[in-house]
Amino acid sequence: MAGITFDAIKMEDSTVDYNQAIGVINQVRTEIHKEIIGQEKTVESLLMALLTGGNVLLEGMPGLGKTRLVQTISHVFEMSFKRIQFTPDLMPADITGTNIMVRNEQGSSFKFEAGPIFANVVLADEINRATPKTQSALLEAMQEHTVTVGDVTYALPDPFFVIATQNPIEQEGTYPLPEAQLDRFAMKLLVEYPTKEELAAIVNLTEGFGVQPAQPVITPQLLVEIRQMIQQIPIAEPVMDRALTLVMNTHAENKYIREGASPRAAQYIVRCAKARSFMMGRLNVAFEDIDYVAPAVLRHRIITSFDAVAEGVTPDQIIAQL
Amino acid sequence: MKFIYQFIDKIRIKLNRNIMRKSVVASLMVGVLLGLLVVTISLFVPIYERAVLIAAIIPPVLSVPVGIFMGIRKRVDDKFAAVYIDSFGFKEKIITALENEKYKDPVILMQREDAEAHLRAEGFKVQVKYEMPWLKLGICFVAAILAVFLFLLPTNAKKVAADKREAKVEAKQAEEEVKEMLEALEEIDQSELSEAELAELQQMMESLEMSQQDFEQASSMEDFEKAKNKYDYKLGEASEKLNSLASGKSENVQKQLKSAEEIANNQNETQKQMASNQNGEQGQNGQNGQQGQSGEQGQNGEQGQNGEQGQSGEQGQNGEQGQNGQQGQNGEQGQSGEQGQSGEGQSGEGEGKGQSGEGQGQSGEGEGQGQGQGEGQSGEGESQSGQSESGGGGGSGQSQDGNSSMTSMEHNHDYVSVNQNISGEYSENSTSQYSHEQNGLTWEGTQVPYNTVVNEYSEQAYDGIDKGKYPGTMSDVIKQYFSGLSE
Repeated sequence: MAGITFDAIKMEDSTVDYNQAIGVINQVRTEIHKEIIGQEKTVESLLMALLTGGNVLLEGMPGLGKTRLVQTISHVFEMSFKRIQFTPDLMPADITGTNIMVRNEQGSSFKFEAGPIFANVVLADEINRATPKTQSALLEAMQEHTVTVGDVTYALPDPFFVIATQNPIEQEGTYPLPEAQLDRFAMKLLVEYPTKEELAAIVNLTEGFGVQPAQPVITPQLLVEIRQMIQQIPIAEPVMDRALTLVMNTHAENKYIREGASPRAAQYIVRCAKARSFMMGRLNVAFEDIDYVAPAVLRHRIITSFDAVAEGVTPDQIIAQL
Repeated sequence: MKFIYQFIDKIRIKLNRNIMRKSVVASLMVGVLLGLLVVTISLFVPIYERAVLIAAIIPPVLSVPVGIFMGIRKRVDDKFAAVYIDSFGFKEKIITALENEKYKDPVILMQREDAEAHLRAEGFKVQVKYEMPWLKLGICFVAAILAVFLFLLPTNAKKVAADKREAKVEAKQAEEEVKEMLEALEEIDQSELSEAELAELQQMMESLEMSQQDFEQASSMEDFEKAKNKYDYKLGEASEKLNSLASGKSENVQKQLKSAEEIANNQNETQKQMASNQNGEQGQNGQNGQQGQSGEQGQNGEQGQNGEQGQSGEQGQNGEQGQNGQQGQNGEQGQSGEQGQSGEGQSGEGEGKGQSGEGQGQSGEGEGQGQGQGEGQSGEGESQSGQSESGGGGGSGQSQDGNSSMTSMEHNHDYVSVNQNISGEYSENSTSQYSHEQNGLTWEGTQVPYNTVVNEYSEQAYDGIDKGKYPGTMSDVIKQYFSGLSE
């Protein structure tokens, strides 16, 4: 942290000033790391996505703490949390909810029974195991933050996040997410295997004594206020230009790229960069912020070519050369 | 914000100075290398020295303003300077503050304060290194020295270029003279001239126009000399013809003809003087050559001058005969070459050989073979070949009175519209020998020197080439042949 203190200037209708907001975010970090060992970059990126209202796709081997991370975050933010285990027989109504017939004194009527998607944080565990039809049930929720059942559209709680996980190895019986669905995720985060020291700390944390559970330090309302503050952080033209250039370069002639990133990628790069600058205690976006968030924002939006697959070139390697 | 502005200004100026330095030096390097290229090319391609100098100097001279222009074009603005400052660890605070200086939003104000605070605290880290492209400057310096060295280095191409240039200048001057002569001829009132005279005048003008073309096409001193020789000869011919045309004409026409004749004579005289001036050494050579022959020929120092005059055939003869005058003490005969020879012929005495002619003439001995002009005139003879070598030695103008054992050749030509019988023989040592079966006052035909014959032949041959009388493939053979004769 830069440790710079700003004048206590508050946003209109804001209950906190910038210094307080930055302090709150620092507290959030601290609380999360009480239960999550290592994974600093994943945690940072996940926080950035939350601060910008973006959905996140977590990819990692089983047992790396993905679900725990999501649970911890929802707990620290005091947000409602629902977990949906995606399976091939999962139906859209199992996610969004459905109208059920209710019999009462006046007769029978239909009543909407909300699905698990009606929560602040929804964990779509192993999202690629569900059929595309079911996966698509999340599209409207992720983009519009609404759910339509029959003729009625229901608003989802604010803030609303979908954090999905998928296993990179087990491909049998899975349905790769369609591009439209992938594009709705602000970031795709790769959960790395912990180091030996981190592993030891994890074992001690779960099997030892005196564990301090994470405490809620921020309310969903405050999160929304902070999100508005972050939106106002200025970004200089050269910095913006770097973000746009990165996206445009994915469309340039490149034998490893079949399709480049969408304009939504540029939006998310800038948003996430603003969030990072805020988290770093700055009120302006730097080049390093762009460079930091670009891989996470672009890696699932670039469709690699056959050459890339054949040569084992990963999207991250392609992005590094942009 | 004022502090930020001032800081940015300071950095921007320093950055622009560096850019200007780099731009000017880079441009200068290109200019100097171009100059070097020009000079290098001039080592192999004949280009006039002054043109090379100008072409080599212009690129470096122009490169400086070009470099300044490029430096101005490349100069950076405040935004660039702000980004440059940010690269010293300010994480784009300065550029953001600069871009949002118009806004008063709370976040913007805080960001600006933050940027200024950081700049005040850590501004000392921002430094613009003085950049001078020493390598390029060194290349400039070395290339410039090399260019000067190569420029001063004498090469064959440079000699050829100088020769071409000289030929061009001389040819231009000669063209003017031809033009002047032509104008004088055009002014002659032709109403009193007979058809034959008109044709003669027309032929003369055409001949001179051809000389003008020769001068135009002269690309080397050799070409120029050839053209000049031809023109000199034509001038002599023209002078004679104009003189002959003047007889029996009205005063006005005579005046015009005389005027043209004077121009011809003046030009002839001027060219001789020029040849003399340009070839001071040759004058000396002439004297030396003469001095080498005999004591009497010490007087030939003057005759060296005669030799110069001897650029025209007849006058050359006169020169020779001037010697005869001395040699043979022939008095009047000394005034006229023909008479001099005639004198010898008349005397029927002695050999006319230069050194010995005198004595033999007096003694009345000998076989009546007049070679009197002899070697003493040899210098003049060369001058007859029209070159600066006048008076230099070889003596193509020697005459030798008829020796019956000699082979004779007879040439009839109509170039001057007068039938002349020229008897003589060409020998390899460039000495023409002509002889007459009859000596004395009544000998037939007119005595014509070897060079005159060669020049006439050459003239006609070149004329024929110009008019396409001969196959194109033969033109080189013909030129080579006559060129060989004149050497």
